[in-house]
Amino acid sequence: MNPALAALAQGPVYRFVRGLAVICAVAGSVGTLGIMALINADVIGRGMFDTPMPATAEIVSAAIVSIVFLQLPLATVSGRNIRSDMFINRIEGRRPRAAIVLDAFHHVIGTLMLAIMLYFVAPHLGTAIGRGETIGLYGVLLLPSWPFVLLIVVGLGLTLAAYALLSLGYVRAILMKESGQ
Amino acid sequence: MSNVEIGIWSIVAILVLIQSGMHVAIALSLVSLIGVYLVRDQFEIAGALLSNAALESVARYSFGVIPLFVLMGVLVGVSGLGRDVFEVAGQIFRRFRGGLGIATVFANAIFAAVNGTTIASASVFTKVAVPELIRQGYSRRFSVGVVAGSSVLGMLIPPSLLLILFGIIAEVSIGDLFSAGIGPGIILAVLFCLLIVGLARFAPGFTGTPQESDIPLMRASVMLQKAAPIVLLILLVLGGIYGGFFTPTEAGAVGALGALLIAVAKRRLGVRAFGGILMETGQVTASITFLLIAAHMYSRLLALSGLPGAMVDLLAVYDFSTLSILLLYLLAIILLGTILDAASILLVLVPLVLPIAIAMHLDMVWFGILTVVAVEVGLLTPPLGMACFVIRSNLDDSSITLGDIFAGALPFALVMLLLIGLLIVLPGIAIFLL
Repeated sequence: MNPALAALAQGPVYRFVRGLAVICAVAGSVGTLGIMALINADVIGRGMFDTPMPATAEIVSAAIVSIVFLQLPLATVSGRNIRSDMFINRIEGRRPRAAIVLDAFHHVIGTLMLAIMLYFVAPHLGTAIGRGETIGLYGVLLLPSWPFVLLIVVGLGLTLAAYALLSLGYVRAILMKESGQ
Repeated sequence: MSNVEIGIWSIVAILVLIQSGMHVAIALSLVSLIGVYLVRDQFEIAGALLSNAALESVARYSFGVIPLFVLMGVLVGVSGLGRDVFEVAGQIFRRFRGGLGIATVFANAIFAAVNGTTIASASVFTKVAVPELIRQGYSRRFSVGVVAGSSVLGMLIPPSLLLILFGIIAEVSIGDLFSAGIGPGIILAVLFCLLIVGLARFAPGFTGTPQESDIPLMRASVMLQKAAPIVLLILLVLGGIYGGFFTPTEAGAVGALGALLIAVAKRRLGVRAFGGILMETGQVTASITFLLIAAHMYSRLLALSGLPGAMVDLLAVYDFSTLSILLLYLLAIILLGTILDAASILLVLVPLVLPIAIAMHLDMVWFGILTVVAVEVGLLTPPLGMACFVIRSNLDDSSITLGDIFAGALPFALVMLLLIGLLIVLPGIAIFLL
């Protein structure tokens, strides 16, 4: 790991955000196991007892979005978001400072994009609650949609925090190098 | 700037940003946001595109396959099924010249049927097969080359993450793509075996000269015991899909449960290990799906810019033959493979060429298989050969360089070009099952 990020990883704020990210990821994993169980129950129920689980497809569709956004913060804070690091690794060998500046730029843009996403997604939570939006099949099984939207907003917010934190780490690394440490 | 020009510049911008190391999903969403703003001149519309992609684009039943097949693949890796099937294959092919090389390909083909990523295949077989191959006297270069080459089977033989991605982007039935992947997957495995026999005979300097097999004979009952779990899992997943009991999405759930039960039965699954598996699954799922969400924004931008339509018109004016357009497309994929990873190539290129392929009345399932095979060539070739990187990071032997792995994988990459040729001449090998 980059020394600047290693220093960051010991800070209390980082550990707090990472802790929250782990909690979210665990919740997402429980969700994954949940849809696995639900689909299996549907397949077995349908095939053997001619009684499918109600609204399986609708629930899975809604849950999958929440699961992804719950797991995104940990993937981000662990540096697992997909990128092509060949170029940056190459310049890191020759000009480590340039690599850090580039990394800082990428994470600042990431922070900005997540902030814009959150800004445009968050109002949907109010709409979902206000209008009492539901998912599922009318007359069979209806669930309120706002808990799913809430999880998405939480995941986006925490991913934003992860990007902001990493940006700070890189910017601080640039400043550290400048003061000759 | 005209809308089509905005479309063209957006592609250039995305390529540059990805190449500079920006997270692919961030690069796609940034360029889409700016592009849509330039086309429609309203920031609200661009923002609505973003929130719509985040909330709606993956809210489909078929997206359930991603975490479930990833979970299944990770579980299968942990259960040691890769090692078991390699040992059994070693027994089957112990009499052949180059037998252990063939066994590696065979084991990879079987393993591919319960696992959807090349990364999983490459990391498992680097640990299991490479030390054994070197111990038997194969050259280092050939040992890592066999593992790299045969690991691409992981994403051709269903279930396959790349086929799932193509199916989602191109809105083609994932079940049909899975059916169509089987024939080419088996043919590629056979071609690899022929290559190994040929190399062992005519280029012993490359393969090394293996000694007589010294693997102790295994009792039939032991072989059966080792092979049974993976065979059962394959029958469960593929049998269920083609028997019409469940869809490919549901097969992900059934297969994940099956793999879970096998891992528990083999006592490979403690509470701590299970936590690790779930975290790994979550991170892979999140990073891939975030890409898909961003790719959805980008495909909307392309549609708004009218670039794909303009390309269709342009090609109609010049009256190119279908074959020449196809060859140009495959060349573009292979060239892009030198700067982009496999998933990104699909995300950037497929939305662009889809209208052209439809206008040429190509069979979309066949087109998907062709695309995925071409994309997979890039997994084996420098500078961005993902399979080779995975092997390097899983090797304990630091004397084998990345250059050795690329050199060893080269004959296998050439055989994949042969498969592409076969697919163009005989489309039936992909679509005969449909």
